[in-house]
Amino acid sequence: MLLRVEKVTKSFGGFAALVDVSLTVEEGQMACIIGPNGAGKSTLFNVITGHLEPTHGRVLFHDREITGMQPHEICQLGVGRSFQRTNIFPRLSVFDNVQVAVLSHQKKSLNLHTPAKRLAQRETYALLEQVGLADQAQSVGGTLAYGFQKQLELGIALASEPRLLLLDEPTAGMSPQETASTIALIGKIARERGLTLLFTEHDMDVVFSIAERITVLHQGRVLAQGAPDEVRGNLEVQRVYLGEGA
Amino acid sequence: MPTSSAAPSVPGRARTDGPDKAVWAFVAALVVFFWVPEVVLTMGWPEFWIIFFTEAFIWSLFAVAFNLLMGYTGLISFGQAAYLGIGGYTTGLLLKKITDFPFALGFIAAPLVGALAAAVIGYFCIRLSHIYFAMLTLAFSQIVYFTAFKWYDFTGGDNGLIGVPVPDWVQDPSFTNYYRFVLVVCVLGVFILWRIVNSPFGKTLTAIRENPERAGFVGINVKRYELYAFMIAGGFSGLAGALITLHERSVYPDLAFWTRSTQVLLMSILGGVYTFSGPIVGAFLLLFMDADITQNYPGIWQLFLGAVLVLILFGLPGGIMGFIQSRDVASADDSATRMRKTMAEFRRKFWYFFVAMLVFSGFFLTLKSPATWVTTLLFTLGQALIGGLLFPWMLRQLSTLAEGWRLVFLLFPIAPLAVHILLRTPLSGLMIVLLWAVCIHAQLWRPDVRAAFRGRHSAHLQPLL
Amino acid sequence: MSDLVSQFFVQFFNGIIIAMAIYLISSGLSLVFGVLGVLNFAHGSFYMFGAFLVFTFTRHLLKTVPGHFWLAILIVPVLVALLGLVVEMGLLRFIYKADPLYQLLLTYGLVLMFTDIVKLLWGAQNLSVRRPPGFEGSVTVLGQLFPSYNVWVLLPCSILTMIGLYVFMNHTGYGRIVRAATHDREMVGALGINVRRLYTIVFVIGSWLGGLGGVIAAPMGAIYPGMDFDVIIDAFIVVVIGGLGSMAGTVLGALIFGLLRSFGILFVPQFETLFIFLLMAVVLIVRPQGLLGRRVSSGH
Repeated sequence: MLLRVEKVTKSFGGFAALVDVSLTVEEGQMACIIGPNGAGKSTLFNVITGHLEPTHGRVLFHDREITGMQPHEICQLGVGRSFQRTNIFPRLSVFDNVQVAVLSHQKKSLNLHTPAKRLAQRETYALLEQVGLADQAQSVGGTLAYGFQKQLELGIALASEPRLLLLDEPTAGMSPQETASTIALIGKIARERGLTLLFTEHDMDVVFSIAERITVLHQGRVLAQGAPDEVRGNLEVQRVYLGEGA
Repeated sequence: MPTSSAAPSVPGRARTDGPDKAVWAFVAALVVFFWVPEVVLTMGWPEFWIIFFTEAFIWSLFAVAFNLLMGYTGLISFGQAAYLGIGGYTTGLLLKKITDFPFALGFIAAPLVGALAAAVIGYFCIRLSHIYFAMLTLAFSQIVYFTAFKWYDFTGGDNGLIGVPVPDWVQDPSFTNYYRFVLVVCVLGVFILWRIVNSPFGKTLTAIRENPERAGFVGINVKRYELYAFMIAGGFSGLAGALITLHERSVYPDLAFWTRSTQVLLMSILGGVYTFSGPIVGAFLLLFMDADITQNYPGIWQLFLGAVLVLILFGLPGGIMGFIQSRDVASADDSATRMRKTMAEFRRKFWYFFVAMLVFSGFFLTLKSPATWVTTLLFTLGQALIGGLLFPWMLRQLSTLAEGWRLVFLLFPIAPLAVHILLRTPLSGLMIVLLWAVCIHAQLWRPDVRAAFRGRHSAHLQPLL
Repeated sequence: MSDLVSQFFVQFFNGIIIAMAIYLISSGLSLVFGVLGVLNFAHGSFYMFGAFLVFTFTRHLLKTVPGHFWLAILIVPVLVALLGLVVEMGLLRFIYKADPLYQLLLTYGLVLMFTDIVKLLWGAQNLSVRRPPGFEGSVTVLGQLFPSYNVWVLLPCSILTMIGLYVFMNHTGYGRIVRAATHDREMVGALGINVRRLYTIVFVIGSWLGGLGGVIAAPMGAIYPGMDFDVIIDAFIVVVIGGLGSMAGTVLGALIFGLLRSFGILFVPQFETLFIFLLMAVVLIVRPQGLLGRRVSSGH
């Protein structure tokens, strides 16, 4: 079991964003979390990656407790993440965006004297190729079109060579073709690198096409969990989320 | 543009000429500036110029150290002068209070103590952000100032620590030897900072500046790196403080006063915070203008400085050296919209600088010869009239994206420049025309703008303009 | 023993007076920051203009008019508010979208300009504004002499201002909008309020307060072109300690500032300014939002 979330509760003042959420993700699995807006998906991600501390409960990665650890420590352990709103380094070039992450992963960030452009060239270009941005290496990150920024986002996340990759709504705002190609790319990369994937999604076609395990969140609680068919057949889920007769 | 230089066109082949080229630039600077005193003395120019350059070098070092925090890490410190004071007092106290204290040790102690102080102060400041960070750095620097001011027995209070013993060669009558010492130290210091800025550490700092949250989630302990940057800046600022102390052979509390911090801030903004050489250019320019204006028009230096600051913030936020895109333009608009926004921005800034130039030149001419203020007024109005009629037409032509008009605008600044040189507007007044020219070039020399004008995209841009 | 006690109360009262003076100046700064999010360096300049303008009015323009000082109190802050209007509409509003620190720098540029403009218009030497007739003498409070101006003009004006601001922000329609804006700017916009106009109005009010502060404070000491620098740092300390954006916090901060200064001068005359900055540093470290301010998130 790569990731284990045990009875995580997160309250903000009087508002309970997550209540007793538990889920597990096996190594190599592609797991998905679905739920209406406000169900707590991003909050859950923030708890897993250390951006928020849970009020109760714990998170274990590789059987090691990571609750309460700093985000950068969790990242160094092998958890990668892409964010819902594109979260890149806007005024750095595409190349620099990824290189910074690579250098951090190579533990070279404290190097004060070697010119950075002599380092990590091959790895950075390999990553850019993999996400399809090699020909835009010198473009300024912030000027890229939305879809390309999402690809860059993915590239940055992959640079840390994570074992577990959390993707927060990777196809948000995309047209059907873009969605299909993004999902294909993600699936391919995950298989090539043996990544475990945990992502949140709204697009049901996407979810049911590649997810091996689905968790349904509703108002901060786990409504259902299991293989796609199980979830699809679950009456509660159908009522609350998918609509009758889905 | 941020400091990344061109990457190889073929993946996998690294270019190694970058930093080596820069080394030559530093060596060249060292060699060229080495002979300045000789030139000054032979030509019979006032010795003042040797002192001017000495101070310019020291401020350049201080400004580049400051900009490591501001431009590269995104931390705007309002109290960097604290380390000037700490460094200066370290050297001053060691050399004066302890008899026969070795000079080299007294000198080296300054950056070390500066870095140490920065570690302590930074530890607290780093926890805060933005305004609160700025306020806390200000508070600490005032604490340093008042400690030096009030601790009469130890620091001499506001009488200062005078008569710091320095080796003979620092005191040589024509200031030449000290000039050279400062030159070497500063070139070396700036070179080290250059290496730092281009290293993985430097890149990490820019990532922190751009998006600290994301930087955290590529494995970077943001607070730790910010502290390191703070310490490096503090160390080099301490070094600058020691140089000032040796130069004046005395230390006063006002070395740490907050207005010195704002001075280095202004230098960086003037030159451009997003480039490495910006603060150096800003330092030289600011000191030059200070000397020029204070000599010819005492009493309006702050007015001029404030006006230039406002001008830069509105018209040239990247500073003189920084041809950066504003955050608005660095958005994900398509190229047509971006070009339209760029042109609109250009038009706005063009008028802005035109008006500024009229105001400044009118102001300076009136100051120079108050008696003829009527002529000056008429002249200014005349310029306004001509500009008001001519420029809208020219700008409309520019909007057609014809390459010819781009060149016209690029060459345009020669006209006002010539006019003002003929009129003998003081050099600081010409600054505005210089800024105007820089602004025009900053907007029209960018690759995407050039491409648009050379017709590659203009076909589909036309209907939108 | 009772000597010590009365000494204590004397210093306490003195502290209150200092506090009221600095409150008057800081209230405008706090209000502007609370609503616009801009820390207006030039607020000290408004204060300075208030002081110099009242000098001109009482010494030259209205010299022969009886009660000229009181007339000046009415007119001068309005003039300063007009200046504030020009500044806001001509400069500040274009830079709202920029980084708040750039806004701070812009106001700093204005400070530099205003300082020299005052020097050009009024000269560089110290000037003094005479106290209005009837308040030139002293008054005995708790066995100690205090300038009657401080007791009978400064105190009431500050308290009136405090009450006025409270009433405005809690019991008038528009004032409630302003108060809401200090809590959540964006929400106010979403409610259909014309935010641009709100900003302008608040800035004008802030400048008016600054000018008023300058007018009231002018007869208390010498006025000189660098007073904007000196007072703005003090005002910063007050609003930081009390809490940026909190009006009640400004009162608290002013009280602490005044009392610390008063008792500080008594017990540790050498280091009282140092203590004030130390307090500012401690507050920023331990509770960056100030004593009564709202929570501040760390990170950039």
